[in-house]
Amino acid sequence: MIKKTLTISNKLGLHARASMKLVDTASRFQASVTMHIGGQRVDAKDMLQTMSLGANKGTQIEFIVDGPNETESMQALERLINDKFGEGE
Amino acid sequence: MTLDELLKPDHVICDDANIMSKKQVLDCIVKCACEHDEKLNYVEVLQALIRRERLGSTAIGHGIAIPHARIPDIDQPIVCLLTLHNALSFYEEETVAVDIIFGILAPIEATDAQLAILSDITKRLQHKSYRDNLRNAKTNEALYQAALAQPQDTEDDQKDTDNLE
Repeated sequence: MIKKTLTISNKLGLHARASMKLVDTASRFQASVTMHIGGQRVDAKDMLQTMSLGANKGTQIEFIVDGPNETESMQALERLINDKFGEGE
Repeated sequence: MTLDELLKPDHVICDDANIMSKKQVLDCIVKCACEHDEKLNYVEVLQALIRRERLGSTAIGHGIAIPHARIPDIDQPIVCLLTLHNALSFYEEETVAVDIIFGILAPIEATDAQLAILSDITKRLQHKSYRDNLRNAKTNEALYQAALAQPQDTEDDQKDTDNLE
């Protein structure tokens, strides 16, 4: 199991398209991915749950990745978020 | 920004049997928005929604789609809700058809308002009972009430959550 806190840094936050990219990335790997903010805990492979976070720029999310290929999964998620979901700002 | 604040009784269209294509869905959303705010230009709003659809599907599973766009000249988000009598595919490659549609138009700079309304809508839609109530509504008034009712947890919701893997 790997835990890591990542910060949403794109201007628009976890809006619909960014959420879809996150769900797609998490779903590429067998490992489970849960996101924790405060008391909320959601499944990062589920679109409705991911969008329900309403995470804006600057939000810190603790990612817990568990299972086969967990290292690769976490790396891919970190890359996506740090790349601002490919949005450039 | 919550659904209670933004959804108006004349922004819901229930169990529409005439809508047979995605184009008609978008047309319906734009007409609803233009009636809400006369400053809006039909073609510009439609083009904004189409541009967003080209970037990728706005279908989000469970038979739900959320076509949306950021547009200039509005002060706060506009939300419309449509349910379709005949579910339709939003994208050719998608196998799950869509019959619940929340159209969202947001001011260009209102990033947090857009995230908040998206969060409120998707929190509600996680409940199977809420989706069922939207689908079962037979009049616009009933759909409006179902949309604003706070979802209650049911056994079905639990099963539904378990099946999300």
